[in-house]
Amino acid sequence: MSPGSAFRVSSLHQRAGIPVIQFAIQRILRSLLTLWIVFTTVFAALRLSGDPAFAILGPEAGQDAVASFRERFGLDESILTQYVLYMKNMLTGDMGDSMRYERPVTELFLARLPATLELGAWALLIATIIGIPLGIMAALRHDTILDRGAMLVAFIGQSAPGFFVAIMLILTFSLRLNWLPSSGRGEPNQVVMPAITLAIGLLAALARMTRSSMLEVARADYIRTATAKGLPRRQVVVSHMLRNASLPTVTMLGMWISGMIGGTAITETIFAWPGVGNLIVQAVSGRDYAVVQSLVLIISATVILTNLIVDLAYSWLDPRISMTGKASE
Amino acid sequence: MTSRIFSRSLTRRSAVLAGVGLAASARYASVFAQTPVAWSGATPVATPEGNYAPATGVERDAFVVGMYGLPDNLEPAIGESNVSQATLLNIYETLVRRDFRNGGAIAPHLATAWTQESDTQTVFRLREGVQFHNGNILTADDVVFSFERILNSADDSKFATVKNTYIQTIASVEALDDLTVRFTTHAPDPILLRRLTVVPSFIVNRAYVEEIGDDAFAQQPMGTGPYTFASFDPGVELVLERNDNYWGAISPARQVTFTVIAEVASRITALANGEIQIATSMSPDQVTSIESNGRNVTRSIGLANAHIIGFNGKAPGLADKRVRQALSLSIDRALIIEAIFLGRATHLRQFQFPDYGELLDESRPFTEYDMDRAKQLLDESDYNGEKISYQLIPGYYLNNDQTGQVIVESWQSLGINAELEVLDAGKIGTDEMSAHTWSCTNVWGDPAAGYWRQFGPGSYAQSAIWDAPAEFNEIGNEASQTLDVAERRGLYSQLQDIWNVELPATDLYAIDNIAGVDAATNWEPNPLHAIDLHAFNFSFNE
Amino acid sequence: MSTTPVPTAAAAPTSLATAGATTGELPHAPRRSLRKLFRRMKPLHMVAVGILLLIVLSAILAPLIAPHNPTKSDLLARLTPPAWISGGDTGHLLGTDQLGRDILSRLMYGSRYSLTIAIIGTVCGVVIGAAFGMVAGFARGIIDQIVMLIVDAFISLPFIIVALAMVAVLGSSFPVLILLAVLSGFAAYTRVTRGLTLQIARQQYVLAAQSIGASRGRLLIRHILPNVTAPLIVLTTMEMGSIILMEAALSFLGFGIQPPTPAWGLMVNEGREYLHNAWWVGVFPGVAIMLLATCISLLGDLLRDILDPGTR
Repeated sequence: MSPGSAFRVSSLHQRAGIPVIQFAIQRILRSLLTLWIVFTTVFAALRLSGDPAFAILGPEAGQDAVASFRERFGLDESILTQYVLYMKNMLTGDMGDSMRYERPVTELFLARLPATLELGAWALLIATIIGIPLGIMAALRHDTILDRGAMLVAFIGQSAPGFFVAIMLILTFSLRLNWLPSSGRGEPNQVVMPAITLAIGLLAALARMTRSSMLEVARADYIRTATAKGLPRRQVVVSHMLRNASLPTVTMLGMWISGMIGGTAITETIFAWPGVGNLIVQAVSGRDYAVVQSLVLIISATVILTNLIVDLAYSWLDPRISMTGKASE
Repeated sequence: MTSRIFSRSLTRRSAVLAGVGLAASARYASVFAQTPVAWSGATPVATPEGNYAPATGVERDAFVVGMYGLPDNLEPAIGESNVSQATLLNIYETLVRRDFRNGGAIAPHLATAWTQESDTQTVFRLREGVQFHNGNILTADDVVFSFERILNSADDSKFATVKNTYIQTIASVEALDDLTVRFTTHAPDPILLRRLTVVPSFIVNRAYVEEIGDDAFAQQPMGTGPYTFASFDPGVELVLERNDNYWGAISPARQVTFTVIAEVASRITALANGEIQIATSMSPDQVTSIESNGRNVTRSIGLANAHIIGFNGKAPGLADKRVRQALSLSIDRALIIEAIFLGRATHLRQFQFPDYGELLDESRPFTEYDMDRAKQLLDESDYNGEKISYQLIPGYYLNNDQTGQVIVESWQSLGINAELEVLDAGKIGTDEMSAHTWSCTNVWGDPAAGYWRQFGPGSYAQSAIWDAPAEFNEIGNEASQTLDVAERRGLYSQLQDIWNVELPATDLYAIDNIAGVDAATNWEPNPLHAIDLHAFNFSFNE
Repeated sequence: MSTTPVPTAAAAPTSLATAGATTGELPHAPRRSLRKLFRRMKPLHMVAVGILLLIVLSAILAPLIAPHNPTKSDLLARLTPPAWISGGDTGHLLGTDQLGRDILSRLMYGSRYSLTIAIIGTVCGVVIGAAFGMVAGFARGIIDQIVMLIVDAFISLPFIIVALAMVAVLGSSFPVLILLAVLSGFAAYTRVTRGLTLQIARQQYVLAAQSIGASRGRLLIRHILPNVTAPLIVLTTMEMGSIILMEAALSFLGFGIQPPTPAWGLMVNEGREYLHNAWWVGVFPGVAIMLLATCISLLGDLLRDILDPGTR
């Protein structure tokens, strides 16, 4: 894997690009369009997926309850009406009420967000503190047993299904050893297992990515030049290799962070961590329309925004990349 | 004159005597609210000591209960769900309650005494000096309000279901004075008292509800119970604080938290680690490992809830009653109870719950398993290989997926084209229903609460999946308006015969409510899922 | 794919895609012989390939070699421990589950579902994604914009929600899972193929062919496709692991394969509540999932070694 990836950069277009402002505007417009597609798809999927009344009220709900439920949430209107109404509300920032909890979605989301951010932050910390040095070490000790061992661990880490890791952690550290609590949030030790579960995949990917980026760059001409010039190895590593190797890492981290809000779903469910992911899973299985629609929109917006930031970060990290127009994106 | 205490075994003779009491209470009606009138009704016999959690004087600051879920909101009048029944009774109270340590007998709660004035009128005497959590004193007017907000609600309001399926027999509730309330029913109601022990009969404070409105009230509950509302994070936790001004014995835990731990293994772990002190909804398979660390015990009680299979009579293959009977006869309930529930479930006598008491017809056999008869019925029927799906909702009913697979195999060996299907909650109530899992909660401990409530006239079942014979509805109606026990027994026996032939649904078993509990805590589970933290059910040894 | 959408290949495609970017060279189609394959293999790779073959074999031969019927319940033998633990039974080497079904047999039959969904889903995903990508990269203009818009929309959607919503609408049958497998991967294939196509299309010889009137189709097939194949193969093996994990996660959540089918993810789900007293019900299928995904990943690594020795 090498710095700069085909679809982010086309250095074949290293001729002067269009001004950043114009690029930014184009990107924003496209993002809005993307958001609209996302929104409409989810809206349609939810409406087609069946009646939320029984999912929320329970299978034993009486007909009266169902009828009044439908009326309260405007489900007896035509789909087109519902769509238009919802679009209108979105534009004014009104995300509607949760059908299950009868509270504004915004309120629920903001109440749960800190928990997810906390979990994500810890996972990110663990993954970077362990993963990147691991990758660097493996690259520097290329082809030794340390390198092979580290990479095997990385492969396994990337292939471990998150729910399984969670279960094994609970089995070992909670049930058998009694060292850690297995659910909830509040005490500092309650975040350990969920954070580790979340971090493992990223840790492994970071280790592999860092390692191969560094190996790739190490072979490149300008590194050989620097070494030949007699620069101390440390300086070579830090100022040249790391800088260039960091590009795909930044991309990866960017995508991970942007996907975090929805990506914590399974971990939060298993560990009863009161975050946004947990909320989404409950909302989807409960057909809580407003919650799902609004949260999906928020998540997508976050992803798109993060991608934009990552693109900008790219240009800072590698001056060879310019914000060109159409073909690169 | 004497007035007789209302009881289920009211005979014709006592009805006459009650009529005499009617004359006496007419005197009360003419006296108006402010000055309390001398109560001449007798007080019911107090439930004997020794059935309660021993009062030890030991207190704890915090107590945590691990649940699989929480109510979506805290409105007591619509809290039908298991999780609502589990939690709300600590904040709100009813006029009377069923004492499950004493066979479910009716016991005083917010009402200290009651008299039946006539076939359709019952008068209650309220406990004096009961405070709501905000300091307001409980009066008869609050009782009136608590029921009128439901009885007078619009047909499309959120109260519609409970109005039509729980308290539809109540015609009016009036305050005779500050502490006396009269309930009038449309027709004689043999189970009026029982209706007043569960949802929606919780007593709320008129001043408070009218001030903040129904919507806010669902998020900020306030009642008379041993615990007051502190905070609610939906789907996460419900926190209650002890009510130090409670009218009865003060509960021993200063703060109680109901926390959601959906994952069973996590709930057990949390109990084992001491993070929670009660783990609800445990399955029989887990009993040994819960008790293995010596720090916790399991306590269980038979639930007043039967898992059943509902047959959609409009689905292909299920229209013929003989097919339904055959399907029911081919299920070996005893084996399932033994093997999957490890004996911790109750085999019912043809859908009758054990707590029907005097109305339990013990001459009926336990719901039968007879493969030969099943095959015979199937041969006689119109069944022609149509596909019959056993539809279940994963994770909703305990061990349902295991039972489902066993049942499907039984049906297949009977010769039915049967298959297991996961029922998506969005498909409930549609034409796609076949033979689906369901449950029937015996809220009142009476045959009127069994299949009659769920499959009676006006029910969803009769409108969508079953053409009930007119006879069924007539007999059932009569039985629910007869006060005489012997007569009711006869009527319910007839009803049962019709049911056994029609079989729009068949009972499977009533599972036990098993909870893992901290060994030093005295607390018993409840047949209606309630986590009752009144001092009579809750104390600590250390 | 673990719980989070860690981009394996999507963010960093093979360097074949970018070798041209830095040095201006043309990526060439690999023509390696099998001998070179064996020479490049490391012991780890050999183990991985060996295990994979074992799994594939057991999937194919399951009806012949599985000791028990995987869906028949045997209530008297519920929750029997694995043979080496006291209480175990050599008739059930890995123990039984909550309905008395043999776990080893269920693992064997379960591998069929995992492998089938992974293979078909991947192949379809690659074909569709590559097609989209080539068309987008070649045609440019408005078609390119539209394709990339769709891809962007997909990538920004949290996949778990797409999966849940899709299952809610269409039910959780086999074809739906394959559809989900396709959806989960195609964005990556589209992007990579498009990038490659963009570069290749600018090469001198392609422009030359175009100028003498070669048809679009011919250009696509004769020039672009061969050069796209190698990186795609590597990408495929990496995505395949993701698909296996995705199917397992969905079954785990209850939205994937339904009981009584012995799918591995479902088995882990069913084993969740028995961690305390019968850990084998959930642990063995989980290990199997990990093993399969790891081996496929290692295979991908091996393929990259062969097809593109310039990178490590």
